[in-house]
Amino acid sequence: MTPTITQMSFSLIGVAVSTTLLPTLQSPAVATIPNQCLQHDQHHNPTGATMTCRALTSTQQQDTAAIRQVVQKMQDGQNTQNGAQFASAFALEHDYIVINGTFIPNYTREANARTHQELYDGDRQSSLGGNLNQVGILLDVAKIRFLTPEIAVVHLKSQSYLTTRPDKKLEGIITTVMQKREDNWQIVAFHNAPLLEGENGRGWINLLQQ
Amino acid sequence: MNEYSTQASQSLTSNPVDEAAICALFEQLVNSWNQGAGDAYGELFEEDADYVAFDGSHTKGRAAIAIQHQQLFDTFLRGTRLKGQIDSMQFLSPDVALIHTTGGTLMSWQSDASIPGRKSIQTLVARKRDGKWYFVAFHNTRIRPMDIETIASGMTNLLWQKLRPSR
Repeated sequence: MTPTITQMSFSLIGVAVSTTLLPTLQSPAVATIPNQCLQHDQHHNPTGATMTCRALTSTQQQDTAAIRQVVQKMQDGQNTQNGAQFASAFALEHDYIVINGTFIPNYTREANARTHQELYDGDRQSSLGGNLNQVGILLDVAKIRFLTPEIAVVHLKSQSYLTTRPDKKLEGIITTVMQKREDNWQIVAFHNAPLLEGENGRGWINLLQQ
Repeated sequence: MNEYSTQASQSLTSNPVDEAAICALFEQLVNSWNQGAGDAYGELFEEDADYVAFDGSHTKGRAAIAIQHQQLFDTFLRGTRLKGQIDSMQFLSPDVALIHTTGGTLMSWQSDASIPGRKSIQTLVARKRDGKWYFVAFHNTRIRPMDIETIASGMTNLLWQKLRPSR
């Protein structure tokens, strides 16, 4: 297939995305949210509150597990170079902010999948050092906050590294908004950004100012 | 005054009243910044809001957001003015909205007509509680107008330089 200019630009965007989002299989995302009731359900009488609380906690645990699975799908999709699997973590239409601040509104899941697959299948020798197969990422669920039972703000910490040297990493932070649609949690907004503090930040700044 | 506009498209469950309220909330954000008022800035956020700044630092809670910004307004951001605009607004539910804005700061010596040198993009989430909208999440990133492939190859190159096995 001969890519159009538009497809090319998406593909290039995907290069930057995937460079910072390549996952690792051996490090599943870990949620740190404590088990607790939703705030607006704490006003009932003690007996009712207890019952409501138990039910909600159980549901929230399931939702937390489902959200972690969404992150895992992204990781696994990247790790196995499967664009469709990567994009399956996202809503049919979602907003995507690439690490350099590029805004892709109303990005379709299909375009997301195609972009990443083109990237995975593309010429990986064009980079000066190593190739994309040598870059891995660790995604860690840093915080889940339920705004409603079906909408959550989820913060992820990312760590990029060369698979040959997994001990040294560059860190990033991702804000996602997830929504339960048709019984499935999906990413409706994705905002990727470098962590610019300290030594890690100097690495990023040098890179981004090239 | 602040220049901002809204192109609220793709709204699933919106109404003009809520859209206007969120636009006003964003205008208050800009005004609080321009007045150097940390408390007023923090008041626009929910008690447990998450705030990720341009450097990736994650501030948690209204009080911390207010204190941090007052310190910034008194030092690095002293005299700066924020110019911003709402680029998109989408209601995920009647009480939760996803908003994207872009903007930048003007230094004290620049006129209001100046174009900010460094533009940034923000993801904001707002929630209506007891009839009032508050921001619950904010993430700001610098927009770097450069060839994206440069970043990709530069990133790989940097990783390679940093992480290359020792000889």
